[in-house]
Amino acid sequence: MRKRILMTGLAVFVLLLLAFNIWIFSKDKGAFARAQNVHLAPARVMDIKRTIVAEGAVVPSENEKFFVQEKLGYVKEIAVREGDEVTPGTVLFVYGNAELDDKIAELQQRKEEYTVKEKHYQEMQTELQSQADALPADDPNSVKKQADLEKEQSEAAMKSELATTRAAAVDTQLTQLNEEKENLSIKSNTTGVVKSVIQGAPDTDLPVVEVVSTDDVQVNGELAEKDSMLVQTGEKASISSPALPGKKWKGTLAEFQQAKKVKEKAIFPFTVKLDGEHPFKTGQAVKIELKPVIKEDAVVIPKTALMKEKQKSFVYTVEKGYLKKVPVKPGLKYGSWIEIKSGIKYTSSVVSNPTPYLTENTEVFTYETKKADTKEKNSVQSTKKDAQ
Amino acid sequence: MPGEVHLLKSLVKPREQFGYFRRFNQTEGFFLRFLMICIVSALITAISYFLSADHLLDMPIVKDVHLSETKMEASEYLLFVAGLIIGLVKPVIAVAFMAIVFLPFFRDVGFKKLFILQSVVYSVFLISAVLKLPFQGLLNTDEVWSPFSLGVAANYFSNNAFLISMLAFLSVFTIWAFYLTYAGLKQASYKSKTYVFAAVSLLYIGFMLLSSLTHALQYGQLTL
Repeated sequence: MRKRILMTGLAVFVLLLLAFNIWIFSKDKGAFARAQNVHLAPARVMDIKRTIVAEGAVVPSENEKFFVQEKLGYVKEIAVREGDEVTPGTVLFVYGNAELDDKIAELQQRKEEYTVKEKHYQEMQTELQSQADALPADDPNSVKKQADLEKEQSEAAMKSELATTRAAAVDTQLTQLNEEKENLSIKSNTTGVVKSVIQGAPDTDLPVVEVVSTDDVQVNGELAEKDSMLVQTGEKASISSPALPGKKWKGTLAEFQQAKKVKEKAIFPFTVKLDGEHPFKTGQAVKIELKPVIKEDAVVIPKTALMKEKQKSFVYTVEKGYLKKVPVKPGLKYGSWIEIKSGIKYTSSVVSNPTPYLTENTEVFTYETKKADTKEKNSVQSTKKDAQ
Repeated sequence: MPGEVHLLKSLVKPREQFGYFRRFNQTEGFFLRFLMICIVSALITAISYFLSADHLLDMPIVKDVHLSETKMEASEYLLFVAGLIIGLVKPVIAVAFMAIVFLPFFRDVGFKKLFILQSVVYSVFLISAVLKLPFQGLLNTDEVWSPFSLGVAANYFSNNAFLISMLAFLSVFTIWAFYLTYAGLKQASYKSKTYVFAAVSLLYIGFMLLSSLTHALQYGQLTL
């Protein structure tokens, strides 16, 4: 009985060991090889990016501010109140300009005068024509009278024409001045809401009326000078919000505003336009992640492949089934990758997870290499067959 | 007949079979049975070499010769023949070596009986070799760890050659071989159980350390 239990236990142990080893085989065939089992990772060529994270805020995409323009006059009347909804063309406030008003009044008076003169001379012409028509044809004095009347008629016609021309000139000036007066009515260009209205005689730094759009929002952020050198307009950005963890929205860096100085350091404000649908509302605090390319077409290998010995970096490669130590010059780090400036080419493969136990010129087993070699061998064979 | 060496019975009922050792000196039929071991060993080695031809012909020394494709194909069959010859001789050397190693500890048993005992133990390793063949075929190399050992797991988790080799030594077949040696010697020798156990343990641990050290040296992890 005891022997049977012992044998059963032994059989179970053997089966478990076999199952465990077969599981390992399915995961890593190289574990069965007596030679040192190493894995190869091909070097890659990729653009190295740097992640820049900036704090940002959601703001309306359109923000119209209307300041006092002294050349236009004084603010005569404000036509809106805070919270009013406006559309493009809605009058926000009107400037008063006495000089312009006087000019318009004077011109209107002059136009009136010319119109009266024009009418008077036209009536005079008609009257003279009537008198001329009434002269007896057989009277010898009639010829002389006829000539005088014609002369007077001609003078009246000339004066009437002059009055017409002058009236037209005044009318042109009036149209211009009326246009100028129309421009004294400041209108909204945005569909939105009046954010603020400052009545009275406002400081020139503050807007009389501020209108914010209700249609869309954008994200404003700031970059340090060093980071701003790497980022350019058109760069893709990821926007995330602490209120919505784990989610990101895409945007595009639309523009850089003029730099400003904060504590003797230049800060570069920028705007990100959001691409597509988003849940953001004005005033929300967000994080803006930018990934500008800092090096194009860099040869990279997994960070784990890089070894160090006496401050010198090296990687292991496999040549004809044997380990070879290759000194390399590492460069920039990028996630789980590291740039290799010199030592290996992008066509090389390196041992991806070397351990301090590995020694140069020892035989290693790489399943990847075997597969590659077999492929190469097969392709050579098929090429030869094709040639035959 | 009592005293005859029954290989298969010895593998599963070592106490009964080796019990005759002390009482009889008959070794009738052993030569034929040992020849069978040699033939099986030759076949296994030949198949193993053939399966791992890719690996063996991938060695730098072979690549430097720049063999033609026909010659490479011929080399694969040549490896099979070489395997046959090596496999035929290998049991003689291995079993004799083991018998010589055990002899100083078990003079009362004698070389002849130790040789017979070790040939039975060698059969265990032949079974192990047969079970390794599918993996040799899949990996195209003759150098694989036994699927019934802890070496596979050790190699999966570590690159420490000494540790891997030591754990690879701890296989189901090594334990079986240890048990056969102990059971056989316990029956064949007049020495005490403790002595037999200690001597066999010492030698097996010695083999284990020696193979582990050699493996570590081979991979440059130990320097002399």
